[in-house]
Amino acid sequence: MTLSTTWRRRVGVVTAGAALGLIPMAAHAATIVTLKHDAVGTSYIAKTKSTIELKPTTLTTDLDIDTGDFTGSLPLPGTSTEFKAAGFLPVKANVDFIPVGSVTGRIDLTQTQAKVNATATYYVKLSNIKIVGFPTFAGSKCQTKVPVSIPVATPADEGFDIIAGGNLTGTYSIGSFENCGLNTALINALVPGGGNTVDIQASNGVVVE
Amino acid sequence: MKLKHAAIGTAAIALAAVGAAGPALATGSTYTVAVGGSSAAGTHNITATAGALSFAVPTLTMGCSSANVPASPASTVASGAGITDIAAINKINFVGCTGPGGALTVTTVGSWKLHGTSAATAGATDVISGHVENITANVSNAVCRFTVTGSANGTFNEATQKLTVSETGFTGNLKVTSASGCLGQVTTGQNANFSGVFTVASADGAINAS
Repeated sequence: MTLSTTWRRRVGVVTAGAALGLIPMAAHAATIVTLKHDAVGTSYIAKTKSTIELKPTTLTTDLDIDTGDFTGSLPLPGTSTEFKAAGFLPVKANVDFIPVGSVTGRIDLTQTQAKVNATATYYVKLSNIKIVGFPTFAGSKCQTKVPVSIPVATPADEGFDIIAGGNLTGTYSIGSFENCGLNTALINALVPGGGNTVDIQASNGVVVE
Repeated sequence: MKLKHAAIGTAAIALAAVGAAGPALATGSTYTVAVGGSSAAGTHNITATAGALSFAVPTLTMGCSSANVPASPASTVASGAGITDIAAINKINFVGCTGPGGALTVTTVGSWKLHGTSAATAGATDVISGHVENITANVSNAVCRFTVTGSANGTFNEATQKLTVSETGFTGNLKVTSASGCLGQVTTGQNANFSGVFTVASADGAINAS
């Protein structure tokens, strides 16, 4: 694989003026490289004091190598959570992350390191909720009212390797849930809040031809 | 100047030299060069090894864990009188090169020439100033590729047979002559630095210039 075969030009933004013929038009062609990394991680939910496993997935990014801006996707496989309500009532639930739009971000090169900043957005959906082992009815649309925005970045003391990958960490808030039936109030008392953290490890990057 | 084992290790790393490096760089003093004690006209194959090397543009710092001038293609030192191109380095393997964002591949292009500019005695302990000219090197990874071209300052120590390349300060004649990608951090026209120490060797013996 050669760079010449993997780099591709994408006609990008044409200014309004150029489009109108008011100024000489010089289409800006972005050079896009598509990268795929393995990704896996965890998220700590502050309110429930529990950790959710973010199962293995693929982070795909279309990187503009002239600017460092990228868009991409990070589908998160369904997972589960388990915690104690009121400190002693065991609660279990399946957790799904429904992507909203693309992952957007940017890679910046400092003098000696590459740093990633990105934001992914999901509805957080709960199902199969069990309290003290007993199933409860939460319906099929028990999810956050508004998407949860999860910003991540390369830790301050680390760099991101375009191919080898790196760690991405962030802190985010979870808003209120809706459509959870009789569990709505309970869930909203237990889960929403700030100070949740996410830790993702990206690795094994490849350039997609 | 006596180069005992010869060679030139320039550091060039990122380089790419351009013949247009400037008139001052295209010149060098003439020497009588002896290899293994013989100043008979001829060429002598050389190899060289270097430890960690660094190179940079004003916005990024890069480096390699080691480098070597291989036996093939042959690089040579010229012996005889009236020598200007003391050595011709036809390939440098750069190993373990990295920069912000990860691994880099560095390849040299063409034949790099070692020129001296300071006086040399018949002794074997001169440290001769000069430069490596005709540097061209391509640097690339998945998101960045650029070429550096020009010349780099350096010295050759006859006693140690070490060629020290020290192009620093972003003020010399080593420049980025083309760049693509690099997240906008490498641009054509930027000055480049390059530093490294090459230990030169020739099977024919020590190199000495006077």
